[in-house]
Amino acid sequence: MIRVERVVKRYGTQVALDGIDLTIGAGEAFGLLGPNGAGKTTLVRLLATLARPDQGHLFVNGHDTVEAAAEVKRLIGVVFQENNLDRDLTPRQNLLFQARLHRLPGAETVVEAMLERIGLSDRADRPVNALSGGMRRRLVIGRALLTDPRVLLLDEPTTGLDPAIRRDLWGVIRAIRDQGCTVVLTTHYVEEAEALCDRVGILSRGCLAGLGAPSDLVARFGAARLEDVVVALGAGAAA
Amino acid sequence: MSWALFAGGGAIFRREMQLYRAKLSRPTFVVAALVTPLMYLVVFGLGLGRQVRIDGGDYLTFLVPGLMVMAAMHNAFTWVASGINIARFYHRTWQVIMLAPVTPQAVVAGTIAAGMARGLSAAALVGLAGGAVGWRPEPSLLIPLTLVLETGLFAALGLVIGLKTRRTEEHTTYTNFLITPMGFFCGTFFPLSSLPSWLAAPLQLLPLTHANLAVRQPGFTPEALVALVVLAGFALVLLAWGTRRVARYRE
Repeated sequence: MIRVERVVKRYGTQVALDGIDLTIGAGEAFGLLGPNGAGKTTLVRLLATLARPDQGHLFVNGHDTVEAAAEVKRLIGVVFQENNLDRDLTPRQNLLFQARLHRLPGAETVVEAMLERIGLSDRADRPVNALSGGMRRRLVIGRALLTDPRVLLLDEPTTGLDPAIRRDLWGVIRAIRDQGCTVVLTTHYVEEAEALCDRVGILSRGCLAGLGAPSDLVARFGAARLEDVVVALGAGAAA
Repeated sequence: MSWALFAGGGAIFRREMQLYRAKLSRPTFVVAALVTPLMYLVVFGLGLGRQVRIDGGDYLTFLVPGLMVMAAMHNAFTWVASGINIARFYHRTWQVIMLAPVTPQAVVAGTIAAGMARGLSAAALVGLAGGAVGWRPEPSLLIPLTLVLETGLFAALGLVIGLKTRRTEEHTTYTNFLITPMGFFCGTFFPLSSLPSWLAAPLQLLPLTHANLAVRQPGFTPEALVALVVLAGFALVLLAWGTRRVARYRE
């Protein structure tokens, strides 16, 4: 379970998050939507312990992300927008590095199983440089799943990918969600949030402008589609 | 101190060595890394060096240990500083380490051990090249010990600078204004006693001066021991600074 309590984050004079309160249940798939600069990535970075809030607290399964960062790191898997891989190394070496950093018992076996799961067994020993964009994305997601996280943070995981690969990754994310892992997903693709998430939060200028199940939000705002709600709330907060 | 503090450091070292091996498989990379010290060896050692004697000895005997010290510094510093810089701003792989439940001490230990290995490899290659053109050192542990302390120190400095910079370009500023001048002025090519005292005195404050002083001693003389203690002192301060930087790292 994730709890975000009155979180404020500033970068210089710019307020990235302005008093966010949010609870995400265990096993829930939660989408964060909103325009660029709304604070989505900042919230993921705070949950991932890569940044500290200026005010407020964030808890992952009851562990404070500042006071108990090491515990939080053991519970989470993180996928950022960039394919942050060692490109001169192979998929196997990238996964083994993660496994050894996290001191997973039987690292070689775990890595072998993951290579199979993400369909990269036949390319396990080629440099990452030689992989396609979709394969690299699968590798990044596989690396995040290697530690069997209770919470998976996905920051725009399908941005820049072609529609077929996006659909392919949706299947991977659904499977993770169905296994009971809590998923927090930021995205610009509203249909992605609708397809994958139980609830969505719409961020605008660092504030949570809307929160609920996609169908509830559409009904509550009298809109035809969730995209209209996102655009209206984003524009409303900006006005 | 518990060894558990350093758990995960081995994974970082191993990964750095894999990256190093991948780079070494490109001949152009190896040539680029060694071209400067080998050029100095040819130009100063074999060219001008035949006309010069220092402290009654031939110039090659003076020059080769200095070139080893210089190569060790450049490689230990640059590999760590630019490696972190690229990992933070370009490949974004530094996040992978920061997202793992490892202590700052483990991150420092793994990173610095890798920087030391690279610095020591470069120094060994320069030593071998020196041997090929006639350098015959007295067997002693002094040169290896000095190089170990020196590479640890400069790898730690690389860690501090790699984490301090806010843009990729900043890293070259430190190389241009700190590392390269040290290579030229801290006793690599000529003894500090050749310089006027107003210039020699501040150079005594720089670590490379002490590394150069130590490797030229005939054995573990008092001067060598003082130089080693100074190097160890620098290394400890930079290790503590690096550990603090890693612990406070945020994006």
